[in-house]
Amino acid sequence: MGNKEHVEYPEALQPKYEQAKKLAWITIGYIVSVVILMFMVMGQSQAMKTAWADDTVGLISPISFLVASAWATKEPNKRFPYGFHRVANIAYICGALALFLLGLYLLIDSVSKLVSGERPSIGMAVIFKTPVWSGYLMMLVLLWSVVPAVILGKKKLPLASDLHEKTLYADAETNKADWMMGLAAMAGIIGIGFGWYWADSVIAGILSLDIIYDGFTHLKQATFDLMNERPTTVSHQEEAPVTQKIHDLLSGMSWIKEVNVRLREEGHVFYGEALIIPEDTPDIITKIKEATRKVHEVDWRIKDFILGIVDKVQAD
Amino acid sequence: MIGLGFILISTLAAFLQHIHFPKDAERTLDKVTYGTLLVGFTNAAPWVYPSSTGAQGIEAAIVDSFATTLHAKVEWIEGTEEQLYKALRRGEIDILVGGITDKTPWKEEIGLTKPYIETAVVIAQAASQALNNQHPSVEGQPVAVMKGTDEGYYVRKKKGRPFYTTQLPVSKMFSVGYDWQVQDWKMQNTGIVLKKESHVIAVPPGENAFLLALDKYLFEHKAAIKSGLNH
Repeated sequence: MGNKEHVEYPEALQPKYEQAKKLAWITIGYIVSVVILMFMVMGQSQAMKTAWADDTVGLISPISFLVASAWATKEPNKRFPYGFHRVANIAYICGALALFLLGLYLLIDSVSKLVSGERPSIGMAVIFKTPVWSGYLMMLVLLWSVVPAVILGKKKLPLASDLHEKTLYADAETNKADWMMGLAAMAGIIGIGFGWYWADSVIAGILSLDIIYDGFTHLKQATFDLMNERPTTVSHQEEAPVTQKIHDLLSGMSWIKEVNVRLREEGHVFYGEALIIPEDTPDIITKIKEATRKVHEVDWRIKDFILGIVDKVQAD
Repeated sequence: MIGLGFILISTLAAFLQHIHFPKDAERTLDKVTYGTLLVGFTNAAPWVYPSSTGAQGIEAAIVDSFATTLHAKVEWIEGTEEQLYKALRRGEIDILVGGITDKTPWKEEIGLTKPYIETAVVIAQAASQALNNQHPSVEGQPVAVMKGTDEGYYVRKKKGRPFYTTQLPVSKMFSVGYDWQVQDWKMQNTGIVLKKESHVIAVPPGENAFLLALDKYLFEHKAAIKSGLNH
């Protein structure tokens, strides 16, 4: 009951969903170009290596978004009666874990390079038969890793909010923050150019702290999602108002004495139930059907909602 | 946007050129100009090997003429590879040569130039052999290789039988050598390539002005170095 036809997004949001998928493909193509170019010019700069590793992991978000979109809309079946919405959560936790571990690795790497006093060497590159210092080429590539990323990030952010798509949101935030990463890596290279070899490892260390922080934040949220935390807003900042709205709607009905609403996130959508103690009332079946219909109207994300009659309601 | 960035970075590059950028962490380029270039080398014929004047060979000649452009004297120091790498890493010597390739396991800890020459290690055959052997195969054949190198391994991979020697080439036998040596030996290249090598010169890590100066010297003399190989 309460199970509408199995599409992930309502009609009005479909174009945005298609656009988000297109942007995810563009992001993948773009990041692949950045990763290849960076690898070609990387040299021994630790800051550049850190930025490169971060960009490589940046592939996980758009890929998991696309994988999840292919799976999440699959019909529930006998074996998986709740459907496949949680594929998105699994993709999310995988990406977060990769980011977190990568950050730790890069931090250890940078600190050990700083302690052992490693001095990065950057030699010559040949552009159009002219010998130039490779550092300039590296800066140019870093610029390519910054500007389109910021534009893509800005385009994806509002779509992610509208679609309640956390993977995409995290991806957009990372892209938007990429300019710091790129500029810091450029500063590292200029530092090497001035003979301040330590600047490179110091900047790499700071960048890896940022990666660890990002990874930890996402890992925490992904874990909370899988533990059925009450729905939060897509930026994870606060509680989504939807639980309160349903509670207000149901407790406003005269035939309901007490109610406890529980919602959980399954990927982009909400599953949940209201446990109610009804007044002694005739025609309860019609009333339950009517209430269920009204609950579904509160928010498009409410996918599967059950009203259950109990004799005791747990306090909030 | 990217075009604008290109202009920005080019302008930055032009400005930095003006203030001698990049700089060395330990001022190696300044110190050796009109001074002494301390060059470590290992006995690695034909690249570099000891002589009465210090060292000779392909890389010795390169270092000597590079030093001339800096008005520097060269002091040759022969040593073992590990000892010299460690000295280079801490800036105790200025250059290290010894047939080093870009695959050296020390490459993360030191500065390497761009490859100044790419060579192939090939199997050569006597000219008389070549006449009745259009499509040479070394399968089951003895192939002369230098004792104590990895050439025997590659010969076995080509199904040849390594014949270990201390003096190459061996007359009337397939012999392993660099592609540019084959002519000197008055032999012919079979076209069987065992491996390719990109040769580089090592400098102390982080000495980027010095590295760039040497890189530019090698780049400008690439053709001369290559033709110098076949006397």
